[in-house]
Amino acid sequence: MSKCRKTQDMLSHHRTGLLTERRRAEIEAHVSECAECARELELLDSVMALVEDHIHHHEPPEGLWHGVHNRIKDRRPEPVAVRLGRWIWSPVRAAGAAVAVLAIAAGLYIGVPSRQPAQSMSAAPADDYVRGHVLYAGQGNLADRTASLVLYTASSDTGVRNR
Amino acid sequence: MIGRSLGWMIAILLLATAAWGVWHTWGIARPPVDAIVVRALLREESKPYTATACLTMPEAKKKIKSTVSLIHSPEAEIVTCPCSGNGAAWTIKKPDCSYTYIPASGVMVISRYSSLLTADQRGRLLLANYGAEYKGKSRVAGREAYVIDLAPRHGTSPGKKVWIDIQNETVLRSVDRSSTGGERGMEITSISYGAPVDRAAFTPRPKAGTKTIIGCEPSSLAELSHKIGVTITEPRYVPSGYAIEGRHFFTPPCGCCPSSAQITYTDGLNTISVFENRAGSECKSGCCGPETDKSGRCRVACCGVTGSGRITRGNKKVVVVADLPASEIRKIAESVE
Amino acid sequence: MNFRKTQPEAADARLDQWDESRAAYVEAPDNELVARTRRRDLAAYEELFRRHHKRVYNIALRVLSNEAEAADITQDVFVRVYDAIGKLKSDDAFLTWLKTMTVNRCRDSLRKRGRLRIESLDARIQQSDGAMASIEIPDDSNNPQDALEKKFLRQSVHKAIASLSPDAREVVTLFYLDGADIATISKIVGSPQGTVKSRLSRARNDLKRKLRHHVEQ
Repeated sequence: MSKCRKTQDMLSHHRTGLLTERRRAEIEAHVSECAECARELELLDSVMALVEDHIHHHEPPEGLWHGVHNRIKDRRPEPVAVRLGRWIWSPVRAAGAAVAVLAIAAGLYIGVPSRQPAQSMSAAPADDYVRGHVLYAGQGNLADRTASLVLYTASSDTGVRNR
Repeated sequence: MIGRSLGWMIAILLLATAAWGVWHTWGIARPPVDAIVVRALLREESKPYTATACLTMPEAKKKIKSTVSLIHSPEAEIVTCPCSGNGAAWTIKKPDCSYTYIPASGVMVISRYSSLLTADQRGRLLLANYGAEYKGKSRVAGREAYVIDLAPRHGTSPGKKVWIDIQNETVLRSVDRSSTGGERGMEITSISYGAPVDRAAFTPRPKAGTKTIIGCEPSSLAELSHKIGVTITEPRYVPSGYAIEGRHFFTPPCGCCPSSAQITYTDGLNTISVFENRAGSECKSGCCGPETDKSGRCRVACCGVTGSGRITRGNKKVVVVADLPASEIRKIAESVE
Repeated sequence: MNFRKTQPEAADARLDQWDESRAAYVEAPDNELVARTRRRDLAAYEELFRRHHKRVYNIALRVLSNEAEAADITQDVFVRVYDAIGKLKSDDAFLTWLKTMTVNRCRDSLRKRGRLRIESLDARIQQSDGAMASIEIPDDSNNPQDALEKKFLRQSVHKAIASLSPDAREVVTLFYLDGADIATISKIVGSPQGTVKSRLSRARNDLKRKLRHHVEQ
C-alpha cells in the first residue's frame, strides 16, 4: 500500500521527466503490475488532456493598439545632452570599474532620460463630468427629462459649496 | 362521397375564414409601433398636459424613489422635483436652451444646446439602432397604453421599454435598462390633458441670490481648442450606430472641475460624452462633497446608470461618460489623439 | 444618413495610409519586422502587435485573473518593448523576450496587489468595473448540448488553473496555453529547468486533484 502511495506521488514527476532513469524504471514496473496505480496514471493523463483541450484563448478587447500607438507617439524626444551622455558612457563602461564609476557620475550629471509615465485608464471621479453628461443627455428630444433631473438633483444634493 | 367532399370543402372554407380573420384582425390591431414610439418620445405633437410621476433608479445599495410633477406644452416643458431638502428643483426645457435650478447648490445652470441632428434624424437613428416590438396593451394612470419594447439591433447599448397613451401618444411609463443590468423606472401616477397651460410656468424664477452659470454652449473644435488651450480632437472610434450630436464648451456648475470640451454622440436613445481638457487640470477632490457616505454608499445617484473612464496622455486629459461596458469606454478614450 | 460609427475625415485618411503600409508587412517574418521597428517603423511594429498581442493578453489574463489588468499589461508591455527594442540582442529572440517582459510585468502587478497566492479555490475573473463574474466562454459548437458541456469543462479548467499559485500559473499557462517547451519557459521565468519541471509537476498534481471528477468513470 505504501509503495502504491509512493508511486502515485511520483506519477506527475514521472510524466514531467523529473525522475532518474532508475526511478523511472521502478515506477513503470510497478504500474505494469498494479491496476490501481495504472488507473491513477491514466487519470493524470486524462486530466492533462482535458486541460490541453479546454484551455481557452480569450479575445483581447479591441482597440488596444490605439493606446499603444498614442503612448508611443506622446513620448517626448530625449534631450540632446542625454543622448550625448549615453554615447560617452557606452564605450567607457568596457574599460573597467574605476572608469565606469566616473562614467556613471558623468551620466548622472548630464541627466536621466525623460519618460512619460505609463498611463492606463482609471475610473473618472463621479462628479462634474457625470453630472454634465446626465444634464446634457436629459435635454435631448427623446430623453426622459424626469429621470435626468432627479439624477442631477440627487447627485448635487451633497452639501455643495457654491463657488 | 359527395357529402364527404362537401364536408371537406366546408372545413377548408371555415379554416381559411378563420385564418383570414386572425390575420386581418392582427393586421388592424397591431399598431404602427415605429411611428408611435418616435412621435411619443419626440413629444412635438402631444397635447398639453400636467402630470405627476414616480421614479425609481439604482443607487449603489438601494433604489431611490422620487415623485416629480410635469407640465408640458408644445413650446416648453417644466419638470419639478421636491426631491431636495432645500426646496424644489426644476428644469425648464425650451427649444434652444434649458434652465436647471438646484436649490442645494444655489445654482441655476443655463444650457444652450445645438444639435447637429434634427429631430427627424434622431428619430430615424433610433429606429435604425433599435427594433420596436409591440408587446400588447396595459393600463397606466387610468389610461390605455401600448406596451413597446425597444431592443438594440446590435452592439451593447441598453434598451428601453415604454408604455404609450393610445389616445394622446404620451409616454406614461418607461423602464430604461442599463448596460450594467440595472433598471431605471418612470411611471406617471396621474395625468390631465387639455387644460390650458399658463406660460408663466415656463419662466425661470430661481430664489434670490442664486448664481447663474452657462453650463453648456455650442462651439466649433477650433473655438474649443482655443478656449481650453489644447488641441481638441474627436475620437476615432465610437461604437457602431452612434452619430455625432454636438460639440459644446462645458462649464461644470459645481466649480470643482475645469472647463472642458464636451463632444457628444447619440444612437437615438443613449448618449456618449467625451470631455477633453488640459492634462494637469484636475478636479478638486471633495469639493463637490464626498462621493461616499459613512457607510460607503455612493452619494452620486449616477453610480448605477453610467460608466466613466479617464485617460491622460501627453498634454490632454480625456474623460468618457456613457452607459457602456468598460471595454468600450476604454476604446473610445484611447482613440482620442 | 449613415448611422454607422463616425470618424473625422482626417482620421479616415490616416487609417487608409496605415492599411496600405500594413499590407506590405503582413507577410514579413518577425525578425524583419523587429529590424524595422528598431528603425522606428511604427507600421512594422503594429504588425508585430497584431500577431502577438493576443498571446501576451492571454498570458497576463491567466496569471492575473483580471481582464482590465491584463489589457493594461498588454499595452504596457508593447510600449516598453518598443522603447527597449534597441537592447534586444537577437531579432530572433523577440518572442521569448516579449513573453519574459509579460511575465515580469505580471509579477510586478501581483506584488503591487500585495497578494502572492489566490485566496479562494473558487476564484472568479474580476471584470473591469470591479464586479466579480465568471469569465464568458463563447459557444463554438452547433450542438447546444455539446456547447453547454464544453463551456462547463472550460469553466472548470479555467477555475482550476486560476486557483494555482502564481508561479504554477505562469508555468502552466506558458506550457499549455502558449505551447512553450521547458527550456523556453525556463528562460522566460528566469528559473532553472529543474525548477520549472518541479513547478509543472506540482501543478499537474493539483490539477489532477481538482479535475479528476470530470474524467473519472
